[in-house]
Amino acid sequence: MNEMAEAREKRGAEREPLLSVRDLSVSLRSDEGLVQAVRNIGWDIYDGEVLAIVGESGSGKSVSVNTLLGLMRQDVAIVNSGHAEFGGRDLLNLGERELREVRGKDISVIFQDPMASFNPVKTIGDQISEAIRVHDERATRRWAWSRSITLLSMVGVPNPELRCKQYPHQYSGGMRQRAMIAMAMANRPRLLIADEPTTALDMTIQAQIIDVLRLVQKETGGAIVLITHDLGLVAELADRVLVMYAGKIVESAGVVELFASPRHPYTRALLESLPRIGDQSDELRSISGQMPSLVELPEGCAFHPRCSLSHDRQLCRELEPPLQETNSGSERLSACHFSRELDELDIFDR
Amino acid sequence: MLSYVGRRLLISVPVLFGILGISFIFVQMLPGDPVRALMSPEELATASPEYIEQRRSELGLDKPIFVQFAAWIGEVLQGNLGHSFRRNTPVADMIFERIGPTAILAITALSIALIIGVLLGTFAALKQNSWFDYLSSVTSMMAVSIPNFFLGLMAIYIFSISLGIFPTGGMRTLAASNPSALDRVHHLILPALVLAINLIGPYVRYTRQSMLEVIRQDYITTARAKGVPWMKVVFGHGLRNALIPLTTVIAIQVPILLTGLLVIETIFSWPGLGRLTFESIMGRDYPVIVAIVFISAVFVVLFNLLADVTAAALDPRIRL
Amino acid sequence: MSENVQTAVPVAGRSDEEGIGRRREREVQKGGNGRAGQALSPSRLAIRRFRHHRLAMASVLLLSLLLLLAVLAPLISPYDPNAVNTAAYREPPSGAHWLGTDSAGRDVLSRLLHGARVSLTVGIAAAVSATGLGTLLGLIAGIFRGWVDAIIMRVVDVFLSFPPLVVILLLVAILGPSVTTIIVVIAAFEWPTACRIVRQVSLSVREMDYVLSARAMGSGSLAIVRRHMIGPVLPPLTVVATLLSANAILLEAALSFLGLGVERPNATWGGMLQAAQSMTILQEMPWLWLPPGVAIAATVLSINFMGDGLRDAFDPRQRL
Ligand SMILES: Nc1ncnc2c1ncn2[C@@H]1O[C@H](COP(=O)(O)OP(=O)(O)OP(=O)(O)O)[C@@H](O)[C@H]1O
Ligand code: SF4
Ligand SMILES: [Mg+2]
Repeated sequence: MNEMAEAREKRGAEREPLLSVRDLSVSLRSDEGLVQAVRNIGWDIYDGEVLAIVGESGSGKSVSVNTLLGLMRQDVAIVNSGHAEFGGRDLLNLGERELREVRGKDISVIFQDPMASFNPVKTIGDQISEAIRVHDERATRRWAWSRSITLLSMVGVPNPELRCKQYPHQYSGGMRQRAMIAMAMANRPRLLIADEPTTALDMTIQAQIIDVLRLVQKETGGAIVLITHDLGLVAELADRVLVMYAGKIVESAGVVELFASPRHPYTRALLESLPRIGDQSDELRSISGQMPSLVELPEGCAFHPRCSLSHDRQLCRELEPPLQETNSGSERLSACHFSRELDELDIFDR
Repeated sequence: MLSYVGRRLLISVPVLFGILGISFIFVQMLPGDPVRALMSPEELATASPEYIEQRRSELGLDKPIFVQFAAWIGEVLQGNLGHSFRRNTPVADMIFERIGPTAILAITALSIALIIGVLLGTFAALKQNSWFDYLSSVTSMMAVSIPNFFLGLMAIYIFSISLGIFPTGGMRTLAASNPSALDRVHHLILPALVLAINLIGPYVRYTRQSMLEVIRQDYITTARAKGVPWMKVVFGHGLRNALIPLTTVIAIQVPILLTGLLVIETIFSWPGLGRLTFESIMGRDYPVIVAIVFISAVFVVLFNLLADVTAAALDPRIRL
Repeated sequence: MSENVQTAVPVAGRSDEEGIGRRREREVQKGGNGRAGQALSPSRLAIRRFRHHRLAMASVLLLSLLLLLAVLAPLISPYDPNAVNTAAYREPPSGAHWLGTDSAGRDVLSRLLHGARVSLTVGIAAAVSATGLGTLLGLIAGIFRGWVDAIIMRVVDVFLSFPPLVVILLLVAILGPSVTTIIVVIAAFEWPTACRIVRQVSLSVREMDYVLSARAMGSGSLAIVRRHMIGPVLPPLTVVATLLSANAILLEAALSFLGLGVERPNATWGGMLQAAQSMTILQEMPWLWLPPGVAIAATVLSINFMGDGLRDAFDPRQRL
């Protein structure tokens, strides 16, 4: 739980984190019972940093960030514990009114599906203008509109004057996602949360969106939390990576180290499932087996039914591994009893 | 947009033709001589048998049924909806005379029902499964289940007879030669409310359902993520989307509204088309009833068209 | 009239399609481990859900009681419902006449019990005939599609354009009032609702894999209907039939109320309410009009709650 904080302290807190999440647990009510969507996770993000969160579908990535901004449905989500310090305040303790000040101003979100994320009956210009005017009482309609045009041209939407007057359905997927980014940037947020910003787009468009994101970051100098399945995107943009599995962080590392030598069997399996150059099949090879139900989690390590390293060892079956340093003094964290064995495997591989 | 309206109009043509067909069947079913039904009493009084026969062949009534149908359509298109059995007036004039009061009552009732129904439905959706939601769904179910004539009688019993707040019927105080606007409103409230209650139920239900769907959409989360206050999200972003499917519901409700007018105008002695229908049925003035049936059906088609156009105006995706 | 069935047509149909879609999606998502949920057959699940719907269960109880009373009416009625007794003129409720007597000295309770027979007969018979006709035409449209479908659907549009009570009044006025006429006429203008639903379901069923493969294997249309269509069509059809019977009861009551119901002096609820159009009765003799009004409202409300319960039982997601 607090392993990461300790690691930070050891490193010497030379900088204050922009956002610091601690011990966050979220359950969701569902037909099948309480879903333990997020379990005691914690992370920090610093100014100017790109932090990627990866993990397969349903591992709790979206829930963990949406909770921070109070975007989960109140009748569904229960925050069991947690703090999220941002600018001296705990986001999880703010009232709706104060949280609204933060949303879209200090922290913005880009959602996965640009198709569904714009209101179909309002023009793009209206929707971007709204984002501006909500946080700036003095902004006139006209001023907000012209600023929307500027924003659109910044993210590379051609002919922005006309585009502002158009409706979402008149945009292509890629253009819509650009507009989404423009809207998120409207108030120069210090933190941008991009929840699978490229998943719904095809390959060439994805590359363009990545460029836009990079540009945005340069422009605003803010931090980005990048949620994605796409390890290629992680490699291109991220500084640090969190790997989530079944509601927990199972590995945390700098992007280079993570790709060079994963310290968790799950991460390793993820990397192995990447299509390689020369690979004929289009399909992403996936890890065999399924994530356990988050309603009834198995005892021990949540990954053990699928783990190739476990060999059904008793420790894996009975004791949940804590997230801890892989080597003492290292900044790398892993939640595996046998993470050190992966070193040997790596050597063996080469 | 214009071409969209044009296309919808074109789709309505076969339906209008079908309505003409069924109305013509009604005309055929009527007891009595159709020629006489089309003539005014004065005309009839002076008409010689030869003249009637001449009219008969003019109207093509000695021709095959399809020719007759065509001839009848020709008459209808010229505005000849036949002649009243009872009164010395063309049916078209009688209807024209009564349309005003009916329109006032119908539009008032529809507006009341829409405002209350949409608000109730919206808040029921926002407070899903709360006591408010439960209460509003049970109440709206009751509103559709209580027959409007019983509701009307109870309203008169409670508000007019027992409490004496509203008049028992009519459109204005008869004694006053020049009734004030207030007097008219006073007479309008009770029948309009009773009429509205029957319509509210479905509006609540479908607004709730549509709103529940809408507030789960991603764009609602996007709006919240921008920092827009919740009520502004609901009414600024949600409502317009939720209203799009409601236009269809309103259009489908129109025949029910017309039926309601018949009963409510009768109970409240409201001098509109509904009351005319009742009077004509009591007096077996069939040409009038057939004409009203025909006009109502045409109106329903036109209203459907209007609903489609409204939906298109609300939803830029349909406009193309 | 408050025919919420009318609105149930496209909207319920639409959400039904969604319901099916959503259900499929869920099963796909659940994947391998979702099978446990299918241990209970869908119909068992539906029954169980219906049982948990408290209002619906209470309604079924009330309707059963009503049905029993209606069947036993000749045996349990304290008086002959049509026996005129000038000595007992408009008597208030007493030990001899629990619900008092009417203007002809007839016992109100006995008339109320006999009125239930008419209401329920018309409700059930009209709903069954309308549903039958609608199902037949809906299946034909869904199976043959193309121009057959287009024609049937235009006919449906035509029929739905007529305000029901007004046409039915006209037809009953022409054909003369009797229980049979009323049933036939109501059915003739209420079938389109069932037709639309059946067509929609059968069109979507047609596209499903197992039907496509059955067709590929050379199964004839009739065999496919028997084997694959009846199942999916039945749930929405039950709901529609229920709501149609509520409608039919309301229509019959309105007809009688307006004086065009079943032949006199037979007792009907609507006919009993007609007396209240007189101010003296409305004002001073509530026992004459309150009981039949409450009876109609309670019956229709129960049927609607039952329909609601059925709808939820078949497609729980719709309420979410
Ligand atoms: N509104 C909700 N109601 C009930 N359960 C939910 C809801 N939203 C998410 N969940 C469940 O919570 C868990 C975590 O979901 P989350 O959306 O955070 O996953 P994710 O990692 O973002 O996956 P994806 O990559 O598919 O977006 C999943 O098991 C999901 O089924
Ligand atoms: S703790 Fe055991 S089961 Fe879990 S990841 Fe490590 S080796 Fe695998
Ligand atoms: Mg997600």
